[in-house]
Amino acid sequence: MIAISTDHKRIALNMGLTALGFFILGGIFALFMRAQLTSPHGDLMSNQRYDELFTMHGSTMIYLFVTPMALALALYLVPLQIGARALSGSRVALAGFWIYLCGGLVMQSGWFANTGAGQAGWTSFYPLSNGTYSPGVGQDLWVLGVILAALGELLVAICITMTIARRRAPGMTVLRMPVFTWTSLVSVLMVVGAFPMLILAMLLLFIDRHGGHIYSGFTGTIDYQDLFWFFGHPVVYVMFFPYLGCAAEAVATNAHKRWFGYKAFVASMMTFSVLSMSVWGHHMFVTGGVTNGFFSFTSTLLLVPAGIEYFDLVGTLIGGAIRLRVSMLFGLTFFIQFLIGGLTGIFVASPVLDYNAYGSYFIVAHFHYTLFAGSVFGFFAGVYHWFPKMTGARLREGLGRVHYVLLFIGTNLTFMPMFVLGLDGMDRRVSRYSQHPGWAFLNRLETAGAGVIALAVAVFLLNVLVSLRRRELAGDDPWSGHTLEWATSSPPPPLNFERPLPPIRSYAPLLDLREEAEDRARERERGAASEARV
Amino acid sequence: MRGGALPLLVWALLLAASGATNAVWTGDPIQIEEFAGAVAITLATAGVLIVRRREAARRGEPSGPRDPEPVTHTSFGAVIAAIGLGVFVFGFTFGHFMIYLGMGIMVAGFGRLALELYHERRAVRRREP
Amino acid sequence: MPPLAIVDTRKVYDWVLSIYVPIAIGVFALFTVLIVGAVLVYRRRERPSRRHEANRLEGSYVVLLTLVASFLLYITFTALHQDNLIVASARASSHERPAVTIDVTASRWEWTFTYPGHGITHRSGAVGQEPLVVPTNVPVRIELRSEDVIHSFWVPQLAFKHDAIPGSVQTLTLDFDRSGSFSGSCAEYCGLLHAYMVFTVEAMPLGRFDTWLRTGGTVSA
Repeated sequence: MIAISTDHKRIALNMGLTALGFFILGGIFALFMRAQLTSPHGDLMSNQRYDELFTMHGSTMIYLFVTPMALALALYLVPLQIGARALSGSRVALAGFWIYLCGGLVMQSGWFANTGAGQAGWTSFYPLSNGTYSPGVGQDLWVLGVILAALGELLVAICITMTIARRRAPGMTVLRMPVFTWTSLVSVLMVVGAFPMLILAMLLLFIDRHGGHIYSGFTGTIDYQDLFWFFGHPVVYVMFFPYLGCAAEAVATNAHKRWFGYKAFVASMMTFSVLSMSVWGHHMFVTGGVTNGFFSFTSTLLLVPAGIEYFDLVGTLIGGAIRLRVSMLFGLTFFIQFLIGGLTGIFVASPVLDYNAYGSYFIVAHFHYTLFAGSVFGFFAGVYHWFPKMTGARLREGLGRVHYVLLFIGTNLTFMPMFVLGLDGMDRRVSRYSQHPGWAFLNRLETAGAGVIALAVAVFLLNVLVSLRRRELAGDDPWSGHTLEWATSSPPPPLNFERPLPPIRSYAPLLDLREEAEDRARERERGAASEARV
Repeated sequence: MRGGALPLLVWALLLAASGATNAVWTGDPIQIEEFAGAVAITLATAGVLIVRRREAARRGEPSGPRDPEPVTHTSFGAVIAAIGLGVFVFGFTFGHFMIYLGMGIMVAGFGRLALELYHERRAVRRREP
Repeated sequence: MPPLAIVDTRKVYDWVLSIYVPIAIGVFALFTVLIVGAVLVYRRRERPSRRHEANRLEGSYVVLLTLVASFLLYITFTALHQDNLIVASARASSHERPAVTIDVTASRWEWTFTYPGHGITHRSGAVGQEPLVVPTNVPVRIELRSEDVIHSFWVPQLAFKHDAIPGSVQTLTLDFDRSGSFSGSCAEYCGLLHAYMVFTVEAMPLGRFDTWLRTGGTVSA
């Protein structure tokens, strides 16, 4: 029954748990890679095994963890936040989850192929990924796995789009949708706009691998990258916006203030997502096949909408009644660490700087600061914030703090030295590196950091286990939440709301109620005082 | 429902503007096609919404659902069809018998899906006066 | 920006970096201080403020952000223009002789450096370690090709790389402004022995380079 339920919460939990499983798998791949890189000429594994590991690490994390997890969060929370009783096209979403799961299994089944798993990188550039240079079943399984996973994610995204369009509760206008719902909406729009291009690129690649001659010569090589990155850059923001939404909701709730500058935020989300559909060529600055000026222009402009988020964050904090719960720690750290990823992103938006950084560890450091130090911290902010809603029990704050501190140390220990290595000339995707002074030491630091991250994740899993076994009951609204999901029971019933919804007059309807009650109480006091004077 | 298509329309408009800038600046045919494709998909999605209900393109507060709606709890058909698709695709590398097997499972899944939808429709019709 | 004559891509890179890095550090410090400061000040307060908009302030802030973006774009476009002049043009050198032309061919997993008309062929990568020999302070023309997959020609000393894409010849003109021995590598993942696709650049004054070229590469640098 759990596996075939069309309840959006059940599908979302299944999808989230699957994605979490892939997160742990992808993390194990990373640990093996870091072990190999502990010394310049590590002999833990063959070159081929290392190539499989970094290909599958990237592919697992991007296609099977961060993207589907973002969609799973949206699938769970968006209907609740907009006061919908059910999903539009819930059967399609259910099928989408299963297709994504099949895609993950197909991709990972490459490990059992005699030629090994996919090993052409998560981008699988042409012609390296064609039948001549990457023969074998492993790469085929990789291509087919990506097609299935992307198709599943696309179907889920379409259902979320339709739900937002059709099932908002009475009073819930588009400009009263909560912050997380807005971040989800622009993300699913990007999925709808960009994922078909990936599916197309991969179908053509599969045909090409089997003698179809689709991509050929210089033009074909550039065309593959144009198609791939047309998906590949937007997906970076699909893997960012919903986690930004998580962090924003966690921060606003823990500051006991509604998110600051809502209208500017909504406008920035629209322009942010459209711009991020228009920057993909910055992955191709060194190919000589795109107009570098245009993509440098759009990429640098991203700092304007990104800057608005930070303004709104600071505005939310100032004047707040701040409580530093674990969700708040993760939320704030998301913003600070993402800033490092964002600012270095503006660096590599300048072609002149990218000519050096491209293909080096600088890029690896940059996108891990956005995806790991950013999105994963936002993810944990969301988990600590909504775990009580999803399960009815709170996560332990003490273990949560240990988890937070370990993850913070591990993340920066792993990814900060990569900036130095990249500027110093270390290539990415190498299993062995030269005896450059300092490189072995920095790599050893990174390996140690990866170990700390693994420990942090273990503490998190322990926290989940302990909190579910010996439950601290959360109640319906443990944090004085702002949005409609806190107006129903924890976990919510099958059709989400049994009690009538509160009136919806803003993007924080529950906070409105609390403020009105406060005002009435104050007026009554004032009335009583003046009566006493009379 | 009311206003549901508006964000999609605004988004498609902004994307078209960005694509037009790209077209003028780069003149790169494949990039122009990609922008056009994404705009077209978004507009098509918005179009589906507007065709179903005109109010999707109008501003204002949404009202509650009007027609009685079937409540779906489970769908075995959707899962079978999805697994069928997985088997079908896997067959391209594993062995061609799985392509046919997958197609068979998919057909079974869609058949079951049709049955589920038929029962649902009938239940809704029975509730209506 | 120094005059173009003896500018190499590293100088352009350093110039852009010297403007970007302080701005980035400033922005990072500003927001970190604001966030941490606000948390410390408003921790454990009881009555939250209800102010939730400052649209005029935010509007001016957006104008400021746009100005910052415009400034960065101005710097980047200036530098990009310089780089294009250095890299893409086969401009006449200010020196008497024309620029040296070197054919650089990437293949799995080696670099082949050919000096046309001089009968010199060097190989580096998985097969050997013969360097790419270049003269300093004259434009060096490089014809970059690939025989199989995408490779990328990267010399960190120049802070510059460019893809070698099958089916095309990418012509680059590079300036090396100092003598010495620098490392170079393939920066685009190209398969099994990608990590071994490295080379050394030997940059030497024009006189010595000429001798090296005349003797067919026998007199070692």
